This record gives sequence, structure tokens and C-alpha cells, in this order.
Amino acid sequence: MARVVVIGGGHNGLAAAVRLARAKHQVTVLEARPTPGGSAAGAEFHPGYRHTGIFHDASTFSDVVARDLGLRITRRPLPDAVIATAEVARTVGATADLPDPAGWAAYRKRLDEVRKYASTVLSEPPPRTDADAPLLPLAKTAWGLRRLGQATMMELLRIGPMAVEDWLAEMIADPITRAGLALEGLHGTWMGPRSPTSTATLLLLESLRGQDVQGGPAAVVDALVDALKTAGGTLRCEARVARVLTKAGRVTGVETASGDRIDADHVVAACDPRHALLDLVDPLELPPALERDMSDVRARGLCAKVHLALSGPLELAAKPGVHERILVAGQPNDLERAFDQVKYRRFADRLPLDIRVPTASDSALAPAGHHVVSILVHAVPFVLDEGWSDATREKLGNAVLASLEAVAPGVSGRVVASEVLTPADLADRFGLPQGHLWHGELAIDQLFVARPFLGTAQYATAIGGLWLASAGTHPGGGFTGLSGWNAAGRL
Amino acid sequence: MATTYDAVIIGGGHNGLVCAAYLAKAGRKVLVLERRHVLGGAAVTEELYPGFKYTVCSYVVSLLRPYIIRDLDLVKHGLQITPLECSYTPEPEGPGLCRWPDPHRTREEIQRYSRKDADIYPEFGRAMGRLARFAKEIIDNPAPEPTSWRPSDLMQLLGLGRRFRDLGDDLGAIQFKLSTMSAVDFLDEWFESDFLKSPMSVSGIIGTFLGVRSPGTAYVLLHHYMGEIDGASRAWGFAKGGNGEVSMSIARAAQAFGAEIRTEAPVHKVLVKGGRATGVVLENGDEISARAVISSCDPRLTFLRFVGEDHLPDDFVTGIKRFKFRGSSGKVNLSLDRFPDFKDRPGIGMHVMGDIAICPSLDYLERAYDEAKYGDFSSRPFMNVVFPSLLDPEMAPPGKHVASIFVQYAPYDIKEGPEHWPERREAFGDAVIDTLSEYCPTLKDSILHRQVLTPWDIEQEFGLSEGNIFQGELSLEQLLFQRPTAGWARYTTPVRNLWMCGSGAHPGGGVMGAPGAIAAKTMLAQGAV
Repeated sequence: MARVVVIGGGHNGLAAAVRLARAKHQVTVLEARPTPGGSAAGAEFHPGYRHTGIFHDASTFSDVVARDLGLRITRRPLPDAVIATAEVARTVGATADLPDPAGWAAYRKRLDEVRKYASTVLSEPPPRTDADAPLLPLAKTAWGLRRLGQATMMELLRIGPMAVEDWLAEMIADPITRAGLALEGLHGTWMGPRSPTSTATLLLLESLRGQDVQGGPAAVVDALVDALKTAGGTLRCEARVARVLTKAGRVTGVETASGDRIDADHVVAACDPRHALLDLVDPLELPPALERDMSDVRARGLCAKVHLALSGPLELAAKPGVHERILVAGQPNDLERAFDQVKYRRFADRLPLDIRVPTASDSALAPAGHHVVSILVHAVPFVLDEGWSDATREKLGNAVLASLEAVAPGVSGRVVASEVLTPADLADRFGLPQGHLWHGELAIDQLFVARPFLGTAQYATAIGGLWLASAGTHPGGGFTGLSGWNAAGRL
Repeated sequence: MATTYDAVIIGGGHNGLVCAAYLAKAGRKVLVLERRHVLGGAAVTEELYPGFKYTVCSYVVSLLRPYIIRDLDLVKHGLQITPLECSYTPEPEGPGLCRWPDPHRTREEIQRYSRKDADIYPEFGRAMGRLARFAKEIIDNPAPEPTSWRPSDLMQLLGLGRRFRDLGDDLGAIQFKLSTMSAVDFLDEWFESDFLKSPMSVSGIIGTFLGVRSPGTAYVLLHHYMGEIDGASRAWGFAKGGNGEVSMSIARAAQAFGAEIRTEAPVHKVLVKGGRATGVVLENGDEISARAVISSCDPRLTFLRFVGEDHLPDDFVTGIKRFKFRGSSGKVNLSLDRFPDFKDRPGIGMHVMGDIAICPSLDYLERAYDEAKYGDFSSRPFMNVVFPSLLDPEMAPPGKHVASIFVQYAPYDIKEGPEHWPERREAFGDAVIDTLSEYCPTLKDSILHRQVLTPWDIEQEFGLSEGNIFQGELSLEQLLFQRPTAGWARYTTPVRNLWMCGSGAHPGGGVMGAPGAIAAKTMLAQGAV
């Protein structure tokens, strides 16, 4: 039985802690904020109104993890998404209401094939790739790919590097549907729909997607905290780790900002890996190349979060009724143009919106008849030429509201309160590097054997007993819990 | 009965000629058919204004495989390559940056922008040079086939895997990143100065419809380190007489080996009987039969026009239809009354005896791309300028000059529709001249003649679909075993006795000659001709 300290009480930290505690280790989770869950936690953003997580989609949370940890969560079918413009609305999901159903079927078929392969790769640590690495695990991964059959394997190798708009256009004629689907695939990337390799990210995120969780990410966090208690683990909030203590290349414990020392045989860093390795560890303990490798990891956040408290429902011009998932992306070129602005360190007047209305399935989150609208705003850069300030935050809020007003006229008049979190706010509040939700961009060169970077994808580090376990490690983005769970498995 | 050839080759571009030369050298009876009145395809020199010779499309040599020069004895047939002396990036205001073959001089230049970058620049060059050796392994051999179970193919894959591991962890990691990153993201890991990264990044976008920040552009940076001239690693060279002379030297070699070459002989169809190619029909109705038909034209032209969908399996046709061209560049050639001085480095010095890149910042390059994405030519484009008359005085009358300006972006699909390019042609030419005039204020006054080639013109004149100079985009999904489509990267086609040997085949475009040479060797090895 080892003493383990987990840095960071986000979903990955908790998943790692629960798995270790259930294996009878003595586990303490240290969370800097007053409440656990990190960016997955729910919060009351205005008196009487709650959201269910900064990242509001729990459909990517791993079933393998949930089952293994015995989490008490309720799975339910993922609500269909409505892809909305001012004039038209398309529905995609279990049911689809599209101009070209054949294209949608072809798309779904391809996703199912990928999911089959991906499920074997995502829930275990990637193989080592260094010059001394054993060949067997590498061969196994390659073998898995070949076993898909020649046609499917070649097709995957063909589409993976493609721009998502190019790939979708091969199957789906309707540009509005394509823009909506592309938007979901771009989450956590620094790309537009016309960037090559964005198909690979879409495939990754979609192959992680399963059923939704009742109550969203917040419910998963609650279940993890319960499971940790049941398993005998300890959670300490408002305990910011200041240093990882080491001796002769091995961890001995951690020291908190308030000066407490906690001895440990293992330290699991479920915070941003860059923070863990470059800020918390004595630089002299690390190999010189590591600092460069870690600094090279790209984590340019380009997502903001807006929460709206509405005095009535959010009504789309093109489709009446209450919808739980709404994607506002316009045409593929609108989405691309929004991303163009990011390159010049600005944000567009019209922004792509990934919307959840949690009150559609849980009316207790707002006063009777009122609604909560949770918006992940894409194409908002962390590095802004004007700089992030109260003024630019307000400007962002207005751009989001104008973008929403375009598809849901009259919504502005129903806003009771709003919370606007810029990428800089996300960085400050949740310790996200440059506001990046997954602690590192999803890009082919930063995934799988190369997450966080080549040679460090097995959760272990150059320091004995120090493990990485955040979304900055394999499989990375999407709210999955797999990074923490895999890391604990390795430990 | 007409003569039967062992092989008839459609297209007298440099790859068609290389293929012909290798087959003729092996004793085969070969005929090359060229549609135009000159040989060379996109590697031609033409005198469009009396006394001034334009390297009409391609204008420098870097990747022409050294073994081809040796095997075909091209030097004896007139090939003479002068190394470029400098890569010069002028600034609108300021001296600009010159990168010289001499590392010490380059260091001094880079230091003005960043001391750190100057320090690391040689290390970067060494790393890239070593990786280029790995890449040469790939471009000098047939494409690997990852789904094949044949022992020879598995051995090739294993061999590549072993070579990759031999690079060691550090270089292996760099190679890994190069494969999918954007040119800028990759360079960001090494350098801090925007003004250095701009000219370095552009080798990643030449001929593609991508920006320097688009993933998948980094690997092309290697090309800059792969060039060899006379066995020495050099970036770029200029062929005496222009790139037309590269083609002509190959043509002379082919003829010396006994190949027959006909110009103004446009092909109408490939004759297919019972799933086999038996020859070609010319536009004038002549039929020429041959044991093998080899196309150096691009895949779209070859299969959808010369062969026809009826003779091809459906999934193959789908693959060829999906193959992306998206020409993105144009060319402006100028006859000049006098040399147009660069503002802050006037006169004819070594700095202009090489290639000159107009790309003052990364944002500039990205803006140029953004305009093109939505169907306009770049109002302020990226340009690569060479003054051939400085490298070979015979290109222009004494005291006069020619300028070769490669321009990007000029998208084939402009929003009016590609067929409307002729109406936009002069406006495009004006944008090029206006932009270059910001660096060379006297340029406009010295122009005697200009030739403007849009992607539409390149398609019409040179038979390159959508004006793509590489016969198909060099994007990740169109390389190696997927060029032009999965399962058909080894120069064979679903039509027996029909082969491919152009840039639309592995290893792709650039004046390399590699597809032509490897195709010929493959055919000979398989006893196909």
C-alpha cells in the first residue's frame, strides 16, 4: 500500500484517485480551488441559476472508466443536435432531419468503423516509441490497424490527414450540416475546417462520444467525489501545491502554498503537465531536453465560455421548441473566417457557438420557467492584440449575444444575467494553460504516442514516482476520465 | 502495317523524357508524343519577346536526382547548373535578410534580427540535412505499400522503420513532427524572428493551396535541404538556358539512346482492348500501337480523358475524381530594359544572384492565403523572384534583363469561375507588379514586355489540370502509397500495359525526374516493356 498524492481535483485527478484508492492505496487529492471538479464542475453563476460544467458535454465520458470505478451516474441518449442558422435548422443525432440522408448514413458508417478501432487504442497507454522500446506493443498497434482490413485502413490513412470540410464534402452536400459537424470536430484544436488533419480530430472526438450523462459533467464530478469517499480516499480543497519534493531523482512528497508538507511515495500530477514539470519540480532534477520538449507543446486556447440566465426559453427562428444541443456555425466559410481572425489575434463579430441548454432536461437548474444557456464560444484567441480586459470581455459578450440573436431573435431581451469567461479568465480560474481546456492542442503530432510529447506518453516522467494524468496526456481531449484512469493503471 | 513500339509515352515533359531515356537506354523502342511545339512540358524556355528568353513555368533546379544526371550523362548533353548564391528577403523599409552559402555571413545577417536565431540556425540546418537523407530514401524508391503482405513489401516497410529508428530519438522526434505540423508551428520550436521564419516557411507552401500555418506544410521544408548539385548539398541551382535546357538535355540523351520524339502530336485517346492498353490514337486520327502505353500527364487527364471511365473500376474512378489539384500559383515573366534596383540594396550584387522572396511577415503570408481561400488572387502575394539574365547572360540582350516571378496565391477556382480568369489576368499581373514595385521603385518604368500566366492559362497551355504545377496537390493524403490513389502508387493502373510516370505519381512534383526514372526501372524489372 503506497501513499499517493494527486495534484488537482479535476475529473482526471479524481478518476486516478478513485482507481488507486479502490486498489487500497492511501490517496490524498489536493485541489487548489474551494470545490473539486475543475472546469468540469457545475456552479451557480447567478443566484438561482446553475450551469453543469465549463465544458458542458459529458457524452465523451468513458464507459470503461465509469464501470470500473463503479460511478453512480445515469446514462441517457444524447439529445439530437440542432444545427441552426437564421433561416434553416438541421437535426443530427439518433434521428436526422437533413436534405441528404444518404450522406449522413455514409458519415455514420465511417464513424462506426473508426470507433471500433479507437476503442481498443484509447483505453490503454500508448506503446513506447524510443529507440530501446520493445517491439511487441508497437507491432500490436500496427497489427490492430491492419486488422481493420485493407480498404478501411487505407481509407483511414487517406481521410485522417484531410481538412474536415474536404472530407465531409465528399459525403454531405448540404454546407450547413457540414459546418455544424465540423464545429464539433474542431474543439480543442487550433484549426479551421479547411485546415488539413482536422478530420483526424473529428474522428478522435466522435469516437469518444457515447451516451450523455444526466446532469452533465457536474454529475460525473459528484459521482467521482462520492466514489473517492467510499473507497477511503481523501479530498482536500483550497490546498494549492507549490512544490513537488524530490530526493535523488525520486518524489518524496509535495509542499502546499500554505507550507504543509505531505509525504508520498507517488505524486500524480493531474494538473497541466507543463505546470507540473516546469513550475512544481526542481529544474535540476529534470533532463535538459525535457524543458524544451515541454515548452514546445502547443496549448493555444481559443475557446471562451458564456453562461446566460434567461427569463424564458431560447427560441430558434428556424425551429420552434426547446432544444438541448444547438450548434451555430453558419456556412463552412463562415467558420473558417472566424478562425482566420484568431491568426491575427482578434475575434470575429460573428462567432461559432456550441450551445447546451441544461434546463431542457433539468428544470431545477433555474427558477421555474427560466432557462440556463451554456455556450462554448469558438475562435476566441487567448493572445489578443488588444489584450484581455473588462472592455474586451464586454465586447466578446456582445459579439456572442449578437451571434445568438441572429439565430434566436429576441433572446437578448430575455437575458437576466450573464457570465463571460474569456480564455484568459479560464486560465486564471482553472489553471488551464493559455485557457486550453485539454492542456494541449489536439493535433496529430500531439496525440497518442506523442502526448504530451514523444517519449513521455506512458504517464511516467523522468522523476521516479511522478506521474502525469491530465488531459494533456493520452488520449487527451474530450471529457473522458481516461487520462487519469490510464495513469493510475500504469502506477 | 505501322511500326509497333515497345512503349509510347504521352507527354514530353521532363518526366516523360526521363522515362523514355531509361527505356531507350535499355534497348527498348520508344516513342514520345508531345502536344506542344516545344518539349519540356512545364520545364520550358521560350523566347516570347525578341531576344528575351523566359523560363516560362518552372525556373530553378533543386531536386533533379543526381543519379539521373549520371545515368543519362546529362552533362555531356548540355546540362550545366549554376548554384544560386543567395536567398534574399527584402524588406519594404530596411536592408532585408540575405542567407548565403557561407554560414558566417548568414550568421551576421540573421543576428540583426535575433542573436538566438543566428546561434541556432546552423544546428537547424544540420538536423534538416540529416533528415533529408532519410527522405531521399523515400523519394529514390517506389512508394512503400503498408497493406501489402508480399515479403518484399514488408521488408521495405521494415527497412524504413529501421532507418527511422536509426535516426535516434531526437531526430526521430523531429521527423515525426515534420510529418504533420504546419511550417510555422515547426519553425516556432526553433526560431523567434518572424522575418527569418517567413522566408523559411514558404518552401512549405509552394504549389499547395495551404497557408504557412496549415498543418501538413512542415515536411516540405525538407526539400530545401535535399538539393544536390554535382554531388554537393546545395539548395537551388539555375540551369544554363533555363529549365527548358534541362528538358532538352534529357531529350538529347533519350535520342542518343535511340528514342523517337514527336512534337505537335496531341494524343486523343488511349486504345484499350479487353482491359489492355494497345496504343494511342492521335488527334489527327493516326493510330500508334505499342506494347505499353505510359502517361506522363496528370491522373485526371490520363484516366478521365485519355482512357475513359468505361474502362476503369468504379472505386478507382472515385479515387481519381477525388484527387485534388487546386492550382494555387501563377507566373509573371518580364523583359526589362534595365535592372530594377532594390530600395535598400541597390545595384547588381551577389544578393540578387539567387532567389528573392517577397514575404515580409508571417501575417502577410497568411493574409495572402486567406484572400485566396475565398476565391480571390492575393492582392499582395507571396513572390519568388529570380533574374535568370544575371545567372546566364544569354537569357537577355546585353544590359537588359529578364525576371521570373513565381506568384502565390492565385487560386484556380476564383469566385467568378475559373473560365473567367482571362478577364482577371491583367489585374492579377498588376497586383504582382504593384507589390514588387514597393521593393523595386523603378520596376514599372523598365518593363518592355510581360507574360502573365494564371492557373487557368497553365491548365490550357500546359495541360496541367487546374493549373497545379505538381500534377496534383502534395498534401499528406496524396503522397506515397496514396499517389494518385490507394493501391495504385507503383506506376501501374487498372488497365494492363498502361503505366504512369509523371508528377502525379510517387514521389511527386518538382523538377526531380524521379517518377519518370522509377517508373522506367519498375517496368524494366517487371519485364513490362
